[in-house]
Order: sequence, then C-alpha cells, then structure tokens
Amino acid sequence: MGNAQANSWNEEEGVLLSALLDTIVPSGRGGALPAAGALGVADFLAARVKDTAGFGDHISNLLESLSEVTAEHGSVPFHKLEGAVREEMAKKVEARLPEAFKRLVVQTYSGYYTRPEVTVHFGTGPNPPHPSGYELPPDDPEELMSLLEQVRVRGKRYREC
Amino acid sequence: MRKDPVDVLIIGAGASGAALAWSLSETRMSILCLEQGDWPQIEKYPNTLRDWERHRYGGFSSDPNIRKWPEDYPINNSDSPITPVNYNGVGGGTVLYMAHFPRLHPSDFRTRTLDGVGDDWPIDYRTLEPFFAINDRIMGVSGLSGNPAYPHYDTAYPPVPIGTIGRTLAKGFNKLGWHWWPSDSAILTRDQGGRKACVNAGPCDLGCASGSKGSVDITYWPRALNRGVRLKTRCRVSEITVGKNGMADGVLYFDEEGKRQRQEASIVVVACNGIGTPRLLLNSGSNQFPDGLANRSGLVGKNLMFHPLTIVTGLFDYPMEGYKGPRACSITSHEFYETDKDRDFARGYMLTAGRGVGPLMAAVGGLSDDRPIPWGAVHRDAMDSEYGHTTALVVVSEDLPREHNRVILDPTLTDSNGIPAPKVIYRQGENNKRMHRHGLARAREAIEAAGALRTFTDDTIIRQAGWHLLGTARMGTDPEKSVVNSWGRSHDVKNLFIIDGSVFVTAGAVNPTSTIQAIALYIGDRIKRNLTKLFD
Ligand SMILES: Cc1cc2nc3c(=O)[nH]c(=O)nc-3n(C[C@H](O)[C@H](O)[C@H](O)COP(=O)(O)OP(=O)(O)OC[C@H]3O[C@@H](n4cnc5c(N)ncnc54)[C@H](O)[C@@H]3O)c2cc1C
Ligand code: SF4
Repeated sequence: MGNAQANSWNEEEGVLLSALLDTIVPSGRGGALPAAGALGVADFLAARVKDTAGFGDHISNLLESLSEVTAEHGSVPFHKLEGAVREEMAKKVEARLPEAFKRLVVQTYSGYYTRPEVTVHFGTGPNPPHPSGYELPPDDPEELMSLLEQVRVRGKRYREC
Repeated sequence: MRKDPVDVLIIGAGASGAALAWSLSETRMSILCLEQGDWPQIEKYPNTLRDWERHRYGGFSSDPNIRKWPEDYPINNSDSPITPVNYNGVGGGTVLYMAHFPRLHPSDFRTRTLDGVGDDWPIDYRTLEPFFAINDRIMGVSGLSGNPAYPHYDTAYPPVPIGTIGRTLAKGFNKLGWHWWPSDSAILTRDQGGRKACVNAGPCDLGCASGSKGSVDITYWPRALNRGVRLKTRCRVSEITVGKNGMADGVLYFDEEGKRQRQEASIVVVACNGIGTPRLLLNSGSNQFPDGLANRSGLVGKNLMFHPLTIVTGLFDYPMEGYKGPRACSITSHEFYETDKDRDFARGYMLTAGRGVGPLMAAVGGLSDDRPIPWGAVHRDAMDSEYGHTTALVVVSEDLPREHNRVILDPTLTDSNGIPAPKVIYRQGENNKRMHRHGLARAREAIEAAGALRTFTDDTIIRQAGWHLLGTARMGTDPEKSVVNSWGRSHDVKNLFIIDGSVFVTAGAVNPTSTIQAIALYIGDRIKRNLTKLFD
C-alpha cells in the first residue's frame, strides 16, 4: 500500500479497492498495459480523497456495497473471484450507486491515463506535451495546392454586400 | 479611497481590452486598465506536467464554476444547456482559447437585408478590413491566402500543418465538391520576435507554454505597456459611477486586499466579455439609471448568443495521430455558411475539423468528464479500437439573436467580493435546431466520403462549449433597439464605451475573437479621430 493510501482505508479495504480497480481497467495488450489496481491507481485516488469533497464517502459506500453483493453471492472474497464474476459484482454495485460509481470510473481513468507507463502506449509518449511537442511535418505545398485546386476553381463562396 | 483621475479607464484586460489599450496608447492620454485576475504564470500551465490532461477537469478547467480561482466569479448556468467558459486574468479568454481565428463573413453584417433574420449591423466587413489586417499582424496569424469564402486578404505565416486528419477530411470534401480551406490560426508557424513557432503539442486550451499562440498577454499587452499604459491586476470593478451630468465619472472596485477603492476617469471602457459586461452594467444601476447603466433600451444582457456545437466522429482504419497539432486548427468548410432558400433554416454553419485528443480525454468522454467510455472487459477494446483512429467534424452553428436568451443578476449568488453573480437564461432556437439536424447529416456525409469505417453522432449540443459570448450590449443606430452606437459609444452615457463581444448584433458561425479585436481596434481608431468631439 502506498503512503498516500495509508490514512484513507485499512488494508482489507485497500485490497478490495485494488481488485475493483483491476476490474474497471483490466490489463491489456498481452500484459504490456497493467491493470489499474496493479499500477497503483489507488494511491492517486487517495490523493483525490484529500482534495475532492465527498469522494472519500463515495469510495467507502462503494466498497461497503461491494462487500455486501459479494457476500450475497457466496463466501469467496471479491479479490479471489474470477474476472467475469468480479465484473458481475461490480455491475451490481454500479446499479445500486450509479453516480458514485461513475465518479470512481472517471477518477480511475484519470489516475491511469496520466501515468507515463500507460501514455507511452497511446502515442503521446511518457512526457508532457510541452516543451518538446510532437513531430508534425509541414504539408507538402504541391499536395496541398492540388487538393485545393477544385475548391479554387469553384470560386467565390461569400456574398458581396 | 484612491482617486488620481485618468483619461481612459479600461475594465478587463482580455482580447478586446488589450487591443484597445494598444490602439489608444499612441495618444497622449493617460490610460489605466483594471483587471480582476493576475498575469498568467506560464510556468504553471499544466501542459508541462506529466498529469497535464486531468487539470482540464479541475483547477485549470475553462469553466469558472469548476476552476473556482479567487478571481473567478460564479455563473448560474442552471437555466441553460450551454455553460459559459472563460479565463479571468490578463489575456482574458485568449489564454485558454484554441486560437482558431476566422473572420465573420461580409453577409454576417447584413442578415436582415439579405435573409430577413437577425438585424443589420451599423458597420460592415469592409469597414473592419484594415483592422483585421492590423490585428492579424500583432496576434501572429497563420493561414493560406485566397480562401474563396472571403474577399481576398493576405496571411503572414504559412498555415499550421493540416496533418493526416486534414488531408483525410479534405479528400471527403473534394469527393462531394464542397468548400474547405486550411484554418486561419493565431498561432505562429515560424519564430517571430521572441515568440517560438508552434511545437504541435495540441492542448492549446491549457495555455501555450511555448508562447506560440497569440494570447494578448504576450501580443498586445507588452506593446501597450511599453507605450505607457498602466495595468493593475487583482482589481475587480463592482460598479461604474455616474455624475450629476449623466456622464460616467469613474468606478468602484475591490483591490487585491479586498478593499473598496475608487478610480476616476474621463472615459470609461467596458471590456469584460458577453457575460461580464452586462453583469457590470446591470450592477451599476442608480437613480438616473434604475434598470442598470446604459440600459434605457432594456437590452443590456439580452440577445445572448453562443455558437451551439455538435460533433460527428469518424473511425478510420489507419492512425490519425490526432494528438499532434493544435487541437482546433486544421481545416474548415464554409460550404453551408450562407443561407440557401431551399433549406428549412436561415443562415448556416461551419464544419471544422477537430484533431484527436489525449488518452484521458478519450477515456472520460470529451470536454466534460461525465461520459466515460465503458469500463470492464470491454474497456480495452473500446479504447484500443478507437483511440488514435478517429477524426471529428464540429458543427459550429449561427445562433440568431433572441431577447429571451439573456444574462441577469442572480438574486442570491455572489462572487468572493459579494458582487451579484450573473445568471444565464438560454434556450436553443428552432432555426438552430433545424440547422444542427442539417449539419450533423452533412458532417456524417463528409466523414463517410473521407472513408470512415463508422461514424458516431453526438446530437446534443455540447454543454461545455460556451466559448463565444456575444450580443448582450448590441450596437445599432436606434437607441431604442441597441445599447451602443456604431463605434461602441453608449447611446445613454456619452463617455462610456463597450468594446467586447457584447456589441455583436449577430453571431455569424465562426469563432469570434478576430472580429472582436478588429472591432476594438476600429473603436480605438474612431475615438482617436474624434477626440475633440468625442461626447457630442
Ligand atoms: C477554452 C476556450 C477556447 C476558445 N477558443 C476560441 C477559438 O479557438 N477562437 C476564438 O475566436 N475564440 C475562442 N474562444 C473565445 C475567446 O477567448 C473570446 O472570444 C475572447 O477572449 C473574448 O474577448 P473579450 O475581450 O470579449 O473578453 P475576454 O477575453 O473574456 O476578457 C474579459 C476580461 O475582463 C475581465 N473582467 C471581467 N469582469 C471584470 C470586472 N468586473 N473587473 C475587472 N475585470 C473584469 C476578465 O477577468 C477578463 O480578463 C475560446 C474561449 C475559451 C475559454
Ligand atoms: S499546439 Fe502550438 S499553439 Fe497550441 S499550445 Fe502547443 S505550441 Fe502552443
């Protein structure tokens, strides 16, 4: 458990949350992209609990609800369930607490898609866009002119007045 | 209470306030600008941070209700499907704007005569032409001369690369025989005078950390300050005051410590934008002006116009690399800009290519973060199949002036100084709804012609797209039907000028800042020419 998490939830809740995050964003591309819980997005959420009013309550309610639906399903804890069953449980929680669940999904994406280990797989690279920016070659002037030829030939598109 | 009278007091250091300050700075007048926000701190722009994308939805949002900086004022948007966005600081909206820089069309100034809707302006495109040219030079506008959608004008810098997205869509437009052209952008494509050429980083709406984007904090303001204009930040004007003679004699404002101050002036200029300006005028009521200052027509705050937007996205089987390049500047089509009597609506719209977005924006659903893509097992497929392979056409539509759409003072909501906040009351008009139906169908057609595998249509107008704030203190010749005359002077208060987007009579269907600034320069020119008979 990361430092930021330390005062936000206990160890049991931490395990549950991490498994829920893995369910929201599972790993992909043959393991090249880690799942959100495994990547430590819970730390990011712990920081949001501190700066976003009401978010901590949302998470507590979601975890409580997740424990309930898992217990209704059987005795196996959520983090030990198979992926498809976990998703089924999480869907039940989403149906019970749609707004809180949406906030969690959005914050999970926020924590996940801003991590360099992830962005490196999405073209934008591991670094912020400034100061280096991206290589975007200038247009080939001949190609541009030839594409525009028919627009020019058609002529004026405004009304004189 | 400080007094030190000045000749000209400008309220608001945004796009129009900066242009006018520079224009008047060649005179011998003492000029002071009061701005409620600070100078932008370029080193704090989030696009130099690893987690840059998430700041768009929090502390660097363009929505003041989300951003909640001390200098922001809240806007009650509960009665409007579109929420106004802004930046309150030196530079105004240009600090966050996307720098798409088209001009209004000549016909936009004559909609009543030509099409029987809206109203004619008391000025025309030809009047503004020299001021467009000056403004393009100072803001640093890139583009390709010869766009058949306009009378000829020259651009100083080569266009921003249109990229794969632009080329793809251009082929679609060509197949259909429709107009398109590389965008005019207030973005340098070559280094110039200490400003660097654009590095194609994309998120211009988070501030341009390389100084390539023409925001007025780095274009007009340094020039104006060099010529002796004074600019005081963290000064929020609460009221324009009027003397017994019915002329404005100064303002009351809160300084950076929250202390109430007074500033006297011979000429007062309001440049607070289409929301901030009516708010200030309505809050400046007095015995002489019980319904708000300069409001004998009853039109202050009325005729609010946005440019309602919808988006069609196309999925392609090759990478678009949309995250490269300024997000709103690639190509634009004015094929459906002008009225066509065979359609079921008057006036028209622009179709503008939107480049792609970063991974977070794609995942959370766009400009606002409340429509995330699916989570769970399908998440990977949803993200991998679409991210980087899409391009969008944005339908930017003309909003006709309607008195119902308006800004009023909220009865209870206030800013941190206790000044009443604005409330926006807005409904999308029937003409505009029809226009959008047409626009969405045409955008889909163009994207399909460009070879898209699939298209997705977002047929609700985008809530967070209240970028363009127009019409709430319109110009005109008739004092019963307008707030200011053809050169921005209040009909009711002869030393009060309004120079921002509020003075628009109609909205056109293009981003307005180029025209807002050309008007501010024109008003500056008229003030300079008429100095001896300014208040006649
Ligand atoms: C995210 C975003 C993207 C945009 N993209 C584009 C684009 O691509 N192209 C385009 O043409 N336009 C775009 N715009 C719109 C553009 O920014 C505005 O059209 C332009 O800035 C309006 O100029 P203005 O002078 O009317 O007002 P503003 O630039 O908004 O300036 C008003 C200033 O007045 C100050 N002020 C207000 N009230 C007070 C008060 N009581 N006391 C003291 N100061 C006060 C404010 O703090 C502000 O600095 C965009 C805007 C945003 C927010
Ligand atoms: S894309 Fe260009 S103009 Fe936009 S922020 Fe980056 S460098 Fe500045």
